[in-house]
Amino acid sequence: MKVVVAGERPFVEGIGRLCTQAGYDVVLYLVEDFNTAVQSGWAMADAANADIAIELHNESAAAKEELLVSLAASIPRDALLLTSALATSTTQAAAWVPRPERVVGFGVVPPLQQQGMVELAAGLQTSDESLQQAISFARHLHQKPVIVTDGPGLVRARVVCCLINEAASALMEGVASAADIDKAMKLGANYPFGPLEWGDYIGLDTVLGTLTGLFNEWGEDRYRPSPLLRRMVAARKLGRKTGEGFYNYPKGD
Amino acid sequence: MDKIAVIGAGTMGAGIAQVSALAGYQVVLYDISEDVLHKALTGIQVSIDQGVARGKIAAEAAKTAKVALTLTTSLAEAAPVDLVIEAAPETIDLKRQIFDELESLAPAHTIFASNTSSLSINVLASATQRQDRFLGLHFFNPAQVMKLVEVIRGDFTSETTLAAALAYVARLGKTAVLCKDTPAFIVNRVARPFYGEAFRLLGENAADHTTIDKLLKSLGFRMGPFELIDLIGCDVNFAVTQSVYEVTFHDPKYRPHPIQQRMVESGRLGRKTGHGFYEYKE
Ligand SMILES: NC(=O)c1ccc[n+]([C@@H]2O[C@H](COP(=O)([O-])OP(=O)(O)OC[C@H]3O[C@@H](n4cnc5c(N)ncnc54)[C@H](O)[C@@H]3O)[C@@H](O)[C@H]2O)c1
Repeated sequence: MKVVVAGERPFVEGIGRLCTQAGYDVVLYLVEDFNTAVQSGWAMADAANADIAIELHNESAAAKEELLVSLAASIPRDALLLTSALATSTTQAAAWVPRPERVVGFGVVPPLQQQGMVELAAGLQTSDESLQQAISFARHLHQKPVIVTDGPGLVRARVVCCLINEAASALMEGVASAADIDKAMKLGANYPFGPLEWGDYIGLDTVLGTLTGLFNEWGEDRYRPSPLLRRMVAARKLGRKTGEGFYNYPKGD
Repeated sequence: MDKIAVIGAGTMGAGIAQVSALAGYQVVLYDISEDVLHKALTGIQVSIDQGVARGKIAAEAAKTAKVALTLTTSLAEAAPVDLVIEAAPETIDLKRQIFDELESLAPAHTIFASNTSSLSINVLASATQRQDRFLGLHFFNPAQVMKLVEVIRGDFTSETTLAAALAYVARLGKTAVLCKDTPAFIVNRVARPFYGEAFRLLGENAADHTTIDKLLKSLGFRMGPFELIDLIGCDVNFAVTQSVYEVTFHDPKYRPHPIQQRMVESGRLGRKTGHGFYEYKE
């Protein structure tokens, strides 16, 4: 079985690793490479005989649409298409591609774990057969499938991105330093990571994309991305993957 | 700094008194009720003895701590110390009144601190003539266990006061984080979405409470939001949500959820009533 994984760091590497470990034939497309490839008129030739395609591009709904459309055009008509439901709902993503009934939404939050959980969500168009395929694929990856209702961020990314957003607001307002905010949440609330270091790990582009997706879906102030987060993404300070986010990451670290 | 007074011998006051005594300070614990003081003392002694039995507290330190701790119902007796930590009920008028009385009873050098979770340090400090020697020391429950102390600087808190408070926290073996006087400080503020989004997800029927808890625990959170709310008490969680919403003049991101009110009004408060989001058998 062949799996195509396309999107951004660190999601692509994380999911790609789980697929390789489960014995799939895996092709990875990082969006950085993909963007230049599209500009030069290159197609995703390796995807032509894929059984499953996984899209992990959440910096914005527009970027997700562009990748999904190319991916859908490159893979076989009946291949299962899994979309990470962070920056949009599954239903919205499925609406962009032909044969939307084969699209299933899923949600993961880095760092990915060996025996983790994956949220799965059906869009309004998703067929039962596709959902069943997604469930057994998750099991093959040793990820426990948990069915939730569709929506941007699903359950976990929505909660975590809102925590990161609140921490970014507090940082912007000078409530405390980034290090003290993270320390406080780990020691005072037993969080596994400080929200700001977690944001740096996930990628601030993905965090902003998820919040923007929530904000657009609900039209409510609670999801308004912190201006600090917007500015950091504008400045390409995206966290670990660019070497700088709320913290600095010296090269090779 | 050697002598500390703790005002209010409830959950937090007793814990703060205990850790301070164990760190080698002379501690006077004040409360308006004799009964509360004696219950607090018994609780502290039992807790220290358990610590010794488990090998967490040295026998010598335990003995010293017990001697170092005294009780009083006289504010005048509590006042002559280097640091006062107020842990009385969370009512602005009550706390301001306590600080106002302490102002005339305490020596000039005494630093005043409040353990308030939600009230403004600047507002509390304004009840005194020593705003430079005033700050927040926000401990977490149980204070005997939790390593964090939010050190809250008011607009007029001096560097000397801050340094003395940081030295105190360090001597307790706890970790201080520096925080500006802003609504709900760090932890109680940044944690709002953990509860708020969980209620939203539940209300939208995105998943049931057990699934939401299970999913968040899969990321390494020690407890899911609904388990945690049952532990804290739905009433306490609702009160904190409401207080943050009020002090921010109804910032919509902090708006309480109808489920919270319904739980509280149904008496489903969590573990303490045997019934919250989950059932708790005896
Ligand atoms: N419980 C928590 O989880 C927690 C955590 C951090 C901070 N706090 C804060 O700590 C403070 C105390 O909370 P608590 O949970 O220990 O409350 P509590 O009700 O357990 O204790 C309050 C104590 O104050 C005493 N008291 C009443 N009137 C008094 C007065 N005029 N002077 C002195 N003492 C008086 C009461 O007899 C009682 O023993 C509050 O400001 C609260 O917001 C609580």
